[in-house]
Amino acid sequence: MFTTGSKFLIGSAVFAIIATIAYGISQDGVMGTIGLASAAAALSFLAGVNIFTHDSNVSGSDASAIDSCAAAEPAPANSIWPLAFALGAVVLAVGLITYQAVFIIGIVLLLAAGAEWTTQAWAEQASAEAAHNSEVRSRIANPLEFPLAAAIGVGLIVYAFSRVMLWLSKTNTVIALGVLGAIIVSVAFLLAYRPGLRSRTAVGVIGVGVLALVVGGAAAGLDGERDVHEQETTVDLAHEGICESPEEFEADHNASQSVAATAAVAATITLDDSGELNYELNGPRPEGATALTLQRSSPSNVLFSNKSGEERRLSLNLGPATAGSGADEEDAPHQVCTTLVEFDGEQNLTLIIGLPSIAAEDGYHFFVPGVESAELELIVP
Amino acid sequence: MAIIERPPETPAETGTGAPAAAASESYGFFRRPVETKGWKAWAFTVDHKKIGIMYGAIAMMFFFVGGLEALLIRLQLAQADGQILSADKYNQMFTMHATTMVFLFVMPMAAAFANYMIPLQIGARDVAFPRMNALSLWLFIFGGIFINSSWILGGAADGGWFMYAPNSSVPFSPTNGVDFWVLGLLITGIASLVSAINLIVTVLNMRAPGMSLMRMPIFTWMGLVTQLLLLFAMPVITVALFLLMFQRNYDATFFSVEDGADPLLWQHLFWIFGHPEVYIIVLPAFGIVSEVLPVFSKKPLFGYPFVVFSGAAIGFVGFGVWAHHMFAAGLGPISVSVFAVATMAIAIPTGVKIINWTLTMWGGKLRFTTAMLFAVGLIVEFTIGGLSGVTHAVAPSDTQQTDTYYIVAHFHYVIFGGGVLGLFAGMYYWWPKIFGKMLNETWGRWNFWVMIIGMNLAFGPMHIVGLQGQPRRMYVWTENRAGEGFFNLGFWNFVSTIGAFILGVGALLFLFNIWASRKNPPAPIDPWDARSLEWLTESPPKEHNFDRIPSVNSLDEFFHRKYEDVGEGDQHDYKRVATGAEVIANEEAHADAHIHMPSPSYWPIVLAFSVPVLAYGVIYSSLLIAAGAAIAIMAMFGWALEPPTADESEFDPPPSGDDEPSKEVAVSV
Amino acid sequence: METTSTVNKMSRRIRIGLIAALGLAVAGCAQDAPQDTFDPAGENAQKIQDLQVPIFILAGVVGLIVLSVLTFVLIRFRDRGQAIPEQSHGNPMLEIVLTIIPALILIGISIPTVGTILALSETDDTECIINVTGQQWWWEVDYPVQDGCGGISDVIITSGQMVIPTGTEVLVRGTSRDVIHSWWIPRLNGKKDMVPGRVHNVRLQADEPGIYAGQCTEFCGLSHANMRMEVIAMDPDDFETWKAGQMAEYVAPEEGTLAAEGEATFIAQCSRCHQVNGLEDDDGNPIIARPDLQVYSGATPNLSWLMTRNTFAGASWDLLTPECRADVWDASPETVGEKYLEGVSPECLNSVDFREWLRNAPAKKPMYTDPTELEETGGLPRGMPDLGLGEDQIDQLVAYLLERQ
Repeated sequence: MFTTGSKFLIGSAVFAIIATIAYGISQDGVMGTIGLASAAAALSFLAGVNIFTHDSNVSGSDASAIDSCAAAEPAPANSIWPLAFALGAVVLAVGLITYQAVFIIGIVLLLAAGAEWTTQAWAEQASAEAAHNSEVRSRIANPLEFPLAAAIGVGLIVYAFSRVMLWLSKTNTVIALGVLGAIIVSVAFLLAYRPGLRSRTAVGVIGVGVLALVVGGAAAGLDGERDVHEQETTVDLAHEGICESPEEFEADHNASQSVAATAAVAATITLDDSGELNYELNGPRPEGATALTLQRSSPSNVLFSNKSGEERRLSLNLGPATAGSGADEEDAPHQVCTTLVEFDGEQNLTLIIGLPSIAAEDGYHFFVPGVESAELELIVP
Repeated sequence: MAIIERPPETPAETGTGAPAAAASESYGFFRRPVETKGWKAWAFTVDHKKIGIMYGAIAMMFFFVGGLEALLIRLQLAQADGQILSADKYNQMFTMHATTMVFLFVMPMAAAFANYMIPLQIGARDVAFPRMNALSLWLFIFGGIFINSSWILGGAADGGWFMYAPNSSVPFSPTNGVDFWVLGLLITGIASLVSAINLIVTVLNMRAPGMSLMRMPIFTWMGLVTQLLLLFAMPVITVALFLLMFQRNYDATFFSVEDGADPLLWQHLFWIFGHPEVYIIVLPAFGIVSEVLPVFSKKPLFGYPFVVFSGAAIGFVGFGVWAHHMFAAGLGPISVSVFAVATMAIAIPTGVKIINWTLTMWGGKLRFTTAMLFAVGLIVEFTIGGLSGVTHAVAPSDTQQTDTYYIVAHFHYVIFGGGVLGLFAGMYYWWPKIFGKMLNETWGRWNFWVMIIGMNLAFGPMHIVGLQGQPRRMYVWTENRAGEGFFNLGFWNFVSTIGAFILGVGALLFLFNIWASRKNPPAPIDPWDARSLEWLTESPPKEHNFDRIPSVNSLDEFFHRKYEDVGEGDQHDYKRVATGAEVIANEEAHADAHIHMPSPSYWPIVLAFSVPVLAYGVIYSSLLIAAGAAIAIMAMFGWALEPPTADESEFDPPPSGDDEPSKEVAVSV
Repeated sequence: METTSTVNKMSRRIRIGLIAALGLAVAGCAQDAPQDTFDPAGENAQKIQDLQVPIFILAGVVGLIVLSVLTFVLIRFRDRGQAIPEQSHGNPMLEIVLTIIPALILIGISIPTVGTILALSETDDTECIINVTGQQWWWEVDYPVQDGCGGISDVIITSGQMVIPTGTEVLVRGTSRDVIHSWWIPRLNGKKDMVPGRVHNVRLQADEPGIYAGQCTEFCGLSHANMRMEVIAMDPDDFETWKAGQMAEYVAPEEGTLAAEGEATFIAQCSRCHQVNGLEDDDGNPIIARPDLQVYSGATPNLSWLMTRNTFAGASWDLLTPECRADVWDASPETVGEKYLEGVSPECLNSVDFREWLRNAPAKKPMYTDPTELEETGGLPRGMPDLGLGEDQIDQLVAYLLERQ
C-alpha cells in the first residue's frame, strides 16, 4: 500500500513536524517555526496525494499492465535509505538555522543516504534475481562501506573513551583504567575457558559495553573536560611569581605530577623533615662538596623529592635577570621551579643552563619557598 | 577491470539464491591482464614463482648496489686519512650499505626463496593470497627505489642503519636523507608484514594431504619461523619509524631531551626489532643449508625435530636479548647481567644446529657440488661468527669490543657467512629447479673459492683492527692511533680492502656463471637426487605447480618414492625403485581434471605505486599525499571489486573445455 | 706477547692473519697500538682482561674442535662409491648430550661474567670525581669542587685531555649536550655511552703515568672520526702542579707585545664563544663567553690554559710538532708527567695545523657551519665557523694563545 515515494514523503513530513516543535520550543523568533511548519504542511499534503493516487501502483483491472509494469519486476527490497535521506534533509534544514555542526551532520547524512539509495536502486536493476542483486550491491558498496563504518566506529569509541578519561579526575582515570583492564582480562579469561559460550552472548556483552562507553562519552563530553593546566613547571610559573610562593596556585592544583626521567638523573634533591635540602647523585658525591655541580648547556634532569611532610616546591634562583648579557635576555626567566609536590612525591625538573654560575654575583641557589633553611648552591662551570 | 559480472540469462536453477559462478558478461574499463608472455605477464602476475624470481632478481641488483657502497667504504679506509669520500658522503655510504644489504638484499632474497619454494615444498598450487603476494613484491621494489632516490635528492640518510636518536633529529641531520630512510623502511616494512602473514597462512592451511607439521621440509619450517619473527618484529620498528617520522616532519618530541624524553627509548625499540632481525636474516639460510646437506650426504637431516625446535627456540629467545646491543649504553649492572646471560643462552640452540649439520654429514656419502661447498662454507664461517659472538655476550668484554671493527667482523661472519653463503647455496641448488638449466659447476667452484677467500680476507682482519681499538663508522683513521707492531691498523686495513675487492670479484663470478650457463642444455629432471616435494614436478614447474596434488606419507617424500627399504628387520638397505623422472611421469598420468589458478591483476602494482607517492608527499607536499591517497583508494576499490579469477571472455582465445571450477582454486584476497 | 714487525713476507702474514681471524686466540699483542684492547694499564681494564683472555682461548678451542670434526667428516665421508647410508633420523641421546655440553660451558662463562659486571659497577671506593660532557665533536672535562683528587678548591675546566693522578680511583660522571657520544679509553676501561639527559658513570684508574688514547665510539654525526680524547695519568705530585696551573690567576700579556695585540683580537673575535678566565673588558668587567647564544650545542672549549694541553679541536690534531710530540708521548713513566707539564713552547708549537685551524676551521674538520645548512638550528653553527681572520690576526692570536699556560 505504501510505495517507496510515499514512504519518503511521510518520513519527511514527520521529521518536519518534529523539527517544527523542537525549534518552536528551543529557539526564539517565529520565522524558523513558520518555515518549518510550512514545510511540514507541504510534505504532508504531498504524502496524502501520493497515497491517494496510489502512485506507481498498478490497477488490477489493466490486464496488459500486469506484464509490462514496474510492479511485474520483482519487488524492490526493503530500504531504510529514503527514511535516512529524509532525516538528512531535515537535519540539514535545522542546521541551517541553528548550529553549523548540525548542518554538517545533515549534509553527511544526506550524501550517505543518497549514495546508498542510488547504489541499491542501481543494483536492483541488475537482474531479476534478488539474491544476485543484493550481492552486486555488496560488491560495489562494501569496499567503501566497511572501511568507513570501521573508521567511524573506532573513531566513535576512541573519542568517547577520550571524553570519559578527560572528564574523570586525575586519580579516577587511573582507577578507571585499572577497572577497564580487569574487565578486559576477565572477559578474555571467560572466553578462553568457556569456548562453548555462544558468540551471540559475547557480541551482546561487547555491544552493551560499547554502547555504555558511547553514552558515557556523550554525557562526559557535554559535561566538559576537567580543568587541564598546560604548563606544569618552570618558565610560566616564574613569570607569574609562583616560584617564590609556598601557596598553592591553580597551576599546582591541575598540573600532573609527572616524573619524566627517573633513570640516571643528574641529581636527586631531597627536602627532609628538618627543612634541609640535600642532594644525591647517580653514584657517589664528590667528597666534601657542599654545592651541586651541573654541566653547562647540557640538559640535566633534577628530581625533587619532598620528604618534609608538607606540600613544597623546589625553585632555582639564577641570579638577577641582568646577569644575562644583551637586550634579548631581558625577558628570560631568572627562576625556574616545580609545582607543589605532595609529601613523599617526586617531580622532575629539566634544566639547561647556558650561563656559568660565575656570571651571577651570588651564584645560583636552589631554595624552597616557605622553608628558610632550605638552600643549596648550584655551580655551573 | 571487470567490476561485476552479469549472471547468465537464465537464473540459476537451484533456487538457493547462490549466485552462479560462471559469469557471462562484465562491466569494466579494461580487460584483465591475462597475458602469459611479455612484460605484462611479469608486472601483473600473481604467480608465486614469477614473484619469487622477481624478488630474487631485484634483490641481486641491490646486492651489487650495496657491494659497490662497501667497496667505496673500503677504498676510503685502505689508508690513513682517506680522501675518496667526504665525511658526509662516507656517513651516507655506510648507512646505506647496511640498509641496502639488510633490507633490500638479504631479506628479499630470503623472501624470494620462501615465495618460490614454500608452496612447492608443501604441495600447494600457490600462496594463500596471491594478489597480496604481488603487493609485497611491488612494495619492496618501490620502497627500495624510494630509499635510493635520496642519493639524487639531496643526499642519503647519514645516521647509520641503527639511526640512534637524537642524532637522527632534524637539527643534527638536516637533509631529507633520514626522511627517505624512515619512509622507505616503512614501505618495505609493509611488504615484509604482508608477505609474512601470507606465508604463515599458506604454510598452516595449504599443506598437501598427509603433510603434518613434523613432515614439513626444514626450509619451510625455518621459513615459517622467520615469518613469525617478522610478524612480531616489524610492528615494533614500524612504531619506532612512525615516532621518528613525526619527530622529524610534524614537530613531535619523542626523542627531544630538553622536553624530558629519554633517547634510549629509540634504542630499545630499534633493537627489539633489530635483534630478531638477525635471525630473520640467517634462519632462511639455515633452512637452505639444512636442505642441501642431506641431499648431498644422501642421508636425512640428523635430528630433524631438534633442528626444528632449535630454530623455533632461536626465534623465541631472539626477542629477549635485544639489550646486548646496548651493554655500553648505561643500562645498569643488573639489566646488563640478565641480558648477558640470556644472550649466552641463545648460543645453545645455535650450537645445536651446527652439531646437527655435522652429524648429518657423518656417515654420509658426500658429493661436493657447488651448493654443497657453499653449505659447508656456511658452517665454517658461521661457527667463527658465532664464537666471536660469545666473546661479546660477555658484557665486560663487549664494552671493549662494541662499536669497534671487531663487531663489524663478527656480524659479517654471521650475516655474510651465515646468511649470504646459504642463499648462494640455495641459488646453486635450486637454479635447475627454477630455470630448468644447471649452472656451470666449474665456474661455480671458482665463484665459491674466490668468495670465500675474499670474505675471509675482508672480514678476518677486521677482528684484528677492532681489537686494536679502531672504532666503526669513522670516515678516516689516523697514523697516530695505528701502532707499528704486527697488528698495526695500516696493514690490516689494507688487507681488508684487498679482500673486499676479491669478494666483489667472487660475487661478479656468479653473474658471469649465469651468463656462461645461458646455453646449457635443459637440466635433468632430478639433477641432485633430491628428497623433498619441490622436485616432484617438472623444472621449471608449470604454472599450477603440480598436475596432481601429492599425498605425503613421510618426511623426504620424494626420496621415499624413489628408494625403498629392502632390508629385513633392523637391517636397512635402500634400493632405487624408480627414477625421479618416472615418479613425476606417474604424477602427470594422474593429473587432476580441473585446475583453476587465480588470474593476474593490475591492482597490486597500482596500490604499491601509490605508497611511495604518499611518502614523497610527506617530504615535499601535501598535494602529493592527496594524489597518493587517491590512487590508493582507487586501487583498493578496484582490488576489492575484482573477482579472483578472470572472466572466461577475457581470455583470448577463450579456453575450451569444462568450466566448472575445481576445489583447488586458491583463495584470492 | 710481543711481536716484532716484519713487513717483507706478505703472504706469510696474510696466512697468519687468517689463522688469527679463525682462531681468535692470539689477538691483541701489538705493542704500539695506543688503543689496544688487550693491553690493560689499570685495574678496571685488567678485570676485563682477566675475563676476556680465557674466553677468547675457550672460543678458539671450541672453534678448533668443531672445525677439526668438520674437516674429519668432510674427508672421511666423501663419496667414494659407498652404499647409500642408513636413513637414520638422529639419535636423541647423543643430541641431548651435545646440547648439555655447550650449555654447561656457557653457564661456566656466565658466572665470572656477572661477577665482573658487578665489580666494574662498584663506586664505593671512589677517590676523585671528574665530569665529562660530550658535544659534537669534542669532550669537555670539568673537575667539581671537592676534597677528592687531592682537593680542588675552584672548578677546573679543560677539554680533550683529562689529567688524573695515578693509583687513584677516579669516577667519571658523563653526559652529553646534543647526541649520544661514548667515552672509551681502552687501556683503562671499557666504553660507556654518554647520553643527553642522563648521567653515566665509568671508573678509571691508571697504575702508571702515561698518555692513554681514546676515541668517541658512538656514532655522533659528521665528524665522529675527529672526536678523540686522551687521559694523562701523572703521579700525585705532578698532578698537584697541574692543578695549581689550572687554578692560577690570569696574567695579561705585556703591553706592546704581539701577544697584547692578540688579546685585543681575541676579545674582538673569539671571546663571544671561548672563555678565558680572568679576561676583562675595558671597564674592568669580567668577560663571560656566551656560547649558548652562538653555537647550537651551547658550549665551546675553555681556552684559559689551552697550551697546557697538547692536542686541540677534539684532540684530533697535535699542538706539538711531531718531534716534540714523540718526546712527550713516548716518554718513560717516570718522566712523562714532567714533560707533559712543560706545555707547548713556541718552538714546539705545531703551527701548521694550528694556523690552518684558525684560518678556516671547517675546512680542516668537517662541521656544520655553512649558513645554508643552519636553517634547522636557527642559524647556529655546530662547530667552529670560518672567521675569515687575516694572517696578521692569526699571528697575534698564536702569540696570545701561546701564553695560555
